[in-house]
Amino acid sequence: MSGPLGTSGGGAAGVTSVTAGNGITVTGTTTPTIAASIAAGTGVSIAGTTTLTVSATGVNSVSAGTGISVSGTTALTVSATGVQSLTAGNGITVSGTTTPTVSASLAAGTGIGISGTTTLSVSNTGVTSIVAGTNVSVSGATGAVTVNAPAFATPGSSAVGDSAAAGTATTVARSDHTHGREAFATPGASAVADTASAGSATTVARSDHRHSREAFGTTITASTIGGTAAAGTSTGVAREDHKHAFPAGAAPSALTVSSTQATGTSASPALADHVHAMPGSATAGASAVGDTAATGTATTVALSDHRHSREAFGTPGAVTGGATAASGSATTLARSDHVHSTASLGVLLASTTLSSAAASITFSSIPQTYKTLQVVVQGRAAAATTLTGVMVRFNGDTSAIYDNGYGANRTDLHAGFITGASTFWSAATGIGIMFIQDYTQTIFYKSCFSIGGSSNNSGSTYSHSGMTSHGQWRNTAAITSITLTVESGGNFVSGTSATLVGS
Amino acid sequence: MDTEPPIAIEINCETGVETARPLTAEEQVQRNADMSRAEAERQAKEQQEALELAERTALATWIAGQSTLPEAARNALARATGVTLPGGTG
Repeated sequence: MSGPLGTSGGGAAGVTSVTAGNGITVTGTTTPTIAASIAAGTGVSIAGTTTLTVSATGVNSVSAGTGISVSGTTALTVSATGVQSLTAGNGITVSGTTTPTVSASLAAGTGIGISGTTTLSVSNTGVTSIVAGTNVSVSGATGAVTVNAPAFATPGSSAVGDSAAAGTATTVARSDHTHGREAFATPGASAVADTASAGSATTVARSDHRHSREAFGTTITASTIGGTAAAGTSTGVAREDHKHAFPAGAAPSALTVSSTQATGTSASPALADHVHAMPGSATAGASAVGDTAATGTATTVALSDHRHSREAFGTPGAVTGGATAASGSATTLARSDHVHSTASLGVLLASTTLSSAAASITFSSIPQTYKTLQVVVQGRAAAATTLTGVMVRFNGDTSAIYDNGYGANRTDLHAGFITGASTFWSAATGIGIMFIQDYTQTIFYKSCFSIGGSSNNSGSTYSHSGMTSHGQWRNTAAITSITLTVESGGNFVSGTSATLVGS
Repeated sequence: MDTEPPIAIEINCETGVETARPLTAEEQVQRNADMSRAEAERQAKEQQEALELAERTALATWIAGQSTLPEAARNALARATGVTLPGGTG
C-alpha cells in the first residue's frame, strides 16, 4: 500500500495500525512502510525489485527412458514397461524380486565329473582309451578311434546229422548268411505192420511230405453166428464206417409151460426186442383148506395178481359140556377173533390168591350171560379165633335185607367158614362155597345156598365145624358184583384164594 | 388183632384186571360195624352154648341120679336126649 492512511475519512478515523503477515514487514507508525521479502529455493530463481520475476531453474521436463513411460503434465505418471519379473527355465532357479538371483544347477552323469564353483570344470571319468582285442583292430587309443571287425566269409554247408563244432575260421558270418543244406527227396511207401527204421537217406522230408499207404479193402467178409475169430491176411485196411454183413433176426419160437432150456441151432440171432410167445393166463381154480397138493395139468399160466377163490368164514358153534374133540366137517373158516359160545359151560370168570392181607375181595363187572354163579373161598383169617365166617354182599349193598340160617335182617350172608389164627395148625384152612341161581333175573329175590367148614381145634386133636345154609337177598336186581369179607371184621391172610365161576 | 392194613381187592371179571386199594372211609365204618356185630354174635353164641352145656350137664346129672331106674334105662334116656352121663356113658 502506498497511500497515506485515513485519507478517505479526513482524520484518524481510518486505519490506525498495520500488522505484518507472513513474508511482510511493517516499519513506521504514521506512515508505515510495508515490505515483502521472498527468497529463491532449490531449482527456483528470483529477479527484479519492483517487479519480481520468479523462474524455475531445476527440472523443467521429464523424458521416458528404455522400459519407462511418462504421462501427464502437471502430475506426471512414470511407469515401467520393461522387464518386470523373471521365470526360471530348465536347470535355472530364480530367487528374490527387487534384485533377483538367477542360479544354474549342473549334475555329473555316468563317466562325467564336475568340479569348481565360479568356473566349473567338466571331466571324463569313464572310458579314456580303447585297445584292440582278438580278431579286432583299433586305429588309436584315444580321440577318434576306428575299430575294425574280422572280415566276412562264405559259410560252409550243413547237413542233418552233422556234429556241433566250434570252428576255427577267423572270419565272421553275416546276419543273413546261409549254409548249404541237403536236398529234399520223395518219401517211400508205408504199410500196416512195417518195421520201424532209422533210414539211411542223405535227403530230408518236407513238412507236407506224404508216404504212400496200402489201399482200403473192398471185399468184406460176412460174420456168422458162432463164427471163429481170425487175424486175417489181407493187406488192405478197413474204413471207419466199414460194416460186416450179419445174420438177420428171425421170429423166436413160442414158450410153453415146462419148456426146457436149449442152446438152439438157428443161424439167426435174437433181436433186443424179440418176444417169445407165452402161454396165456386163465382163471385160477378154487382152493380150500384140506386140498391135496397137485402139480396140475393146465397149459396156461397164473398172473402175479391171480387169486384163488376160498371158502367163506363161518360162525363158530357153541361149546357144550362133555363134548368130545372133533376135527369137524365144516367147509368154512374161523376168523382170528372168533369166539365160541360157552354159555352152557362152567367158566372161570375170575380168581385171585392174595399176596398180602386184604379186608375184602370183590368180583366186579360180572358178565350177565350165565345162569348160575359159584363162589369158592379157601383160606384163613387173621382174627384171633379158631374159625370165622366168610361173608358175602351183593352189589355193595350193606342194608339189612339179608336173611339166612343165622338170622334175619342181616347185612350179609355166610358163604362158609375159614380158619382163624387161634387154630392149632397154622397151615389149616377153611372153605366156603356159595351157589347163586338165576343171578340176572329181576323178578324174584336172589336165593343162594352155602356149604363150608373148617378145623377149629385149638389143641392138637382135630375138631371142626361145618355149615350148610340157605340165604336170600331181598332185592330183585341182577347181581353185578360180589364182595367177600371176614365175619369178625378182620383180614383175609396172604395165600387165601377166591374164585368165581359162571355156568 | 389184625396188624395188616385194611386193603380192598377188586377183580374186574370183564377185563381180568386186579386192583388193590385202601378201604374207603365208608367201608371202614362198615368194617367196624361188622366187627362189633360179630363180637356181639360171638358172645351171644358163647352164652347160648354155655347155657346149653349147663342144661345138658344138669340133665345128665339128673338122669344119673335116677337110681330107681335100671342103668340100661338111664343110658337109653341119655342117648335119647343127647347127653353124656358122668363116667362116659351116653
